[in-house]
Amino acid sequence: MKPIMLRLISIALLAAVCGAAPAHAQNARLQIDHLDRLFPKAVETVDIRVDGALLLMASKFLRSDKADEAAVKEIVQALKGVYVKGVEFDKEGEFTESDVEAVRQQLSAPGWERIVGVRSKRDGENVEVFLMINNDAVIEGIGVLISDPKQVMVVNVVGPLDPDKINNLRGQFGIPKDFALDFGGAKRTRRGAN
Amino acid sequence: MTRLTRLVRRAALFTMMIALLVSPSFFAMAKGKGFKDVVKHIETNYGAKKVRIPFLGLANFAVKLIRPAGVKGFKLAVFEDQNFSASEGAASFDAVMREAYDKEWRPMVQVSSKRNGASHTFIYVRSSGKDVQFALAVLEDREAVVLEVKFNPDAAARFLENPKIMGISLGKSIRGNNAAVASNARSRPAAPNPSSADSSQAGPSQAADVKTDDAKPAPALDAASNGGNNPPALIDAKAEDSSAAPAITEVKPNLPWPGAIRIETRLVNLNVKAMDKAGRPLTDLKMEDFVVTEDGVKQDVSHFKPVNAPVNVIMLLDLSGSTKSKRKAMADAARKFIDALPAQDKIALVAFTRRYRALSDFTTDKESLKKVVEQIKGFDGGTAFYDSMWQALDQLDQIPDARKAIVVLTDGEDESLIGDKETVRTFDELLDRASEEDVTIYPIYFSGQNHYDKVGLLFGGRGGLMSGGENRKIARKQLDSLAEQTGGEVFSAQLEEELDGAYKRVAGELHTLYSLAYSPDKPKRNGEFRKIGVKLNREGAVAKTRRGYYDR
Repeated sequence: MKPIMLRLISIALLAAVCGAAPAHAQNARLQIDHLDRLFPKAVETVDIRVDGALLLMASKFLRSDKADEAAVKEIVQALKGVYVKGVEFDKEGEFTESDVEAVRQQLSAPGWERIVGVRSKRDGENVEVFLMINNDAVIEGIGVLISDPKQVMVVNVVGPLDPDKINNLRGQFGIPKDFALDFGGAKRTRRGAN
Repeated sequence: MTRLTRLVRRAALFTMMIALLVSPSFFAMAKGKGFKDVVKHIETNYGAKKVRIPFLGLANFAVKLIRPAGVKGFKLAVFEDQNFSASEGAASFDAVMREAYDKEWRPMVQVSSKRNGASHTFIYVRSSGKDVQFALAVLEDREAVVLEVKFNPDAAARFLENPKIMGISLGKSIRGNNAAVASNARSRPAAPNPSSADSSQAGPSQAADVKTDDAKPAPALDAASNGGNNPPALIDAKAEDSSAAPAITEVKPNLPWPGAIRIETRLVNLNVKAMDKAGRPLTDLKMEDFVVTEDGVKQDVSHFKPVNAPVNVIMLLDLSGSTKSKRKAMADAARKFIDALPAQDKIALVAFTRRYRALSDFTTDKESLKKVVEQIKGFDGGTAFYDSMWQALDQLDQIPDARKAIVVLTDGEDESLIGDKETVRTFDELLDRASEEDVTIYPIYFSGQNHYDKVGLLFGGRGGLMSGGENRKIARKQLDSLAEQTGGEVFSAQLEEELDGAYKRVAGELHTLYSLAYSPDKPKRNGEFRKIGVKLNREGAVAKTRRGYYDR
């Protein structure tokens, strides 16, 4: 499961690197509890639920007087939750396409936009990254869906995640110093709208 | 009798004290049966026996009494060298955990693996007022640990900040030094690895559909403005060796597995001054008015910022002994300069003698900055001009935004010119680096004379016109080179009263710069110098920028 986690972190970074369309204000929390039923057969499982209250508590350990920690603190304090659910099996066919489709359907709802899609014909792995961005260019949610014939993994970060604040993390946590996110700022108008 | 009464009183008082200290956490911990149930389940289901930990009870009592790091109590059960690889899986153990930890508890982490010997980790969490309780259960093939901890996050955070137990300090902050110390000495990032990918890559059988319209990382000049107004604090960074930053911006997520997607974009940032035939700045240009070439080949300008975009400025003041009598004039001029810059510009105030002393971090808080200016009166020492400029470039390296400038007020003579003192950096090294960076340098050449000095200067003294001012000439030439290579300009203030005017001109000049960025079309990374050219689509107009960069 470890490589998957590493991938997820990196995919989340990629998600941050990429832009996306604005979204309608709506709930960015994905319903992924249906994957619990796959746990008994799985050889590896991950289920992480860190809600806003916990993140708020965790933020107390970050200092406000150091620019780098303060930036993280601000981001963490604003987050409403981080949820991860993943299962991996020894053999193929232990889960159905509908298990994955149930998540993908939520991510194809209005407001979500797929910004990264990677399909590997060699091992059948699909990696998709979705962002929900509101009209103020703030990320309301990140959804990462990874699946291959033997595994399913969903990562859901429920925002707000302000790109400006993410930019403040440059040079830390592996985020390149010169990396920049720009979704057009507060004056951004919705695509199609004027 | 009296003795007995005293003894009873003491015993009663002691009991009450202990009860008061212990009771809140004790009852809180005793309320939930989670720990007890889980341990019982392990004991009965696996026939396991807890490891006896010496003085555990005493330690728990001490924790309840002292509450170190905000911990108010804990329960711990450790099982070793026993067989936990029975048929029960994570799901059923999860059921046990859920039952044991009632609805006030929330599952936070559940990680299970049946590979290489089963391993299950469960973390449950519960908030109780200002306190938080964590329950951790780890089951592995031969070992198991069940831990329940109650602690106060605020107290724990305070402990990390100032580790103290019963008033006894355990040393410095566990999280590092709290003082507003910013080390500006930073190693230059390693040169890009020539073997790394130059653009988006995917494994041989992978298809990546990263959206290209938005996916392109913005350059540093597109960075969001850092709106924070950090109050200035005295920052004293020691001069240390460091090296220059690369000329190009790289966005290279560090992806740790083979075949991963790698998006790497190299961007060259330029600050460009545009002037008309008469040398007047042109401030109404658009991106399409600029034609950028690299080694004579036209480049696509991908990012553009107009002249009125905010600038990050280091205001570097030479506080060597020779300027001591002119500090009042320098302070007055500095304050006026601060006022003259637009509100959104971020300014960092730095003084240098033999040492580089950051007096404030970058801030838009002008009032605080003006107060910090007062501090310049007390400094004295030599003139490590090259080293200080080097460190100013280091400090600016930490600013992601590309619009950066150094305004340095100096009489220009580095110690290495005057005597036999060595500096860490030579002028050539400094010039090489400066010409590669996206920092524009504006030296204000301040000979700092008053009318009386000027008369004396004619007839002798250090650098006097009649006694050979070679050093002065060299210093002045060096300032010219620094400005020229970075797209800046030298301003001169021979007299104290000319300082205001010089700063005013710099303030105006700073907002005649456009910022552009482009991705070089043929990245080679062979270390060669890449010559940059900028032309304007306006008749007679001239553009001025740095001359190029080394493609490392």
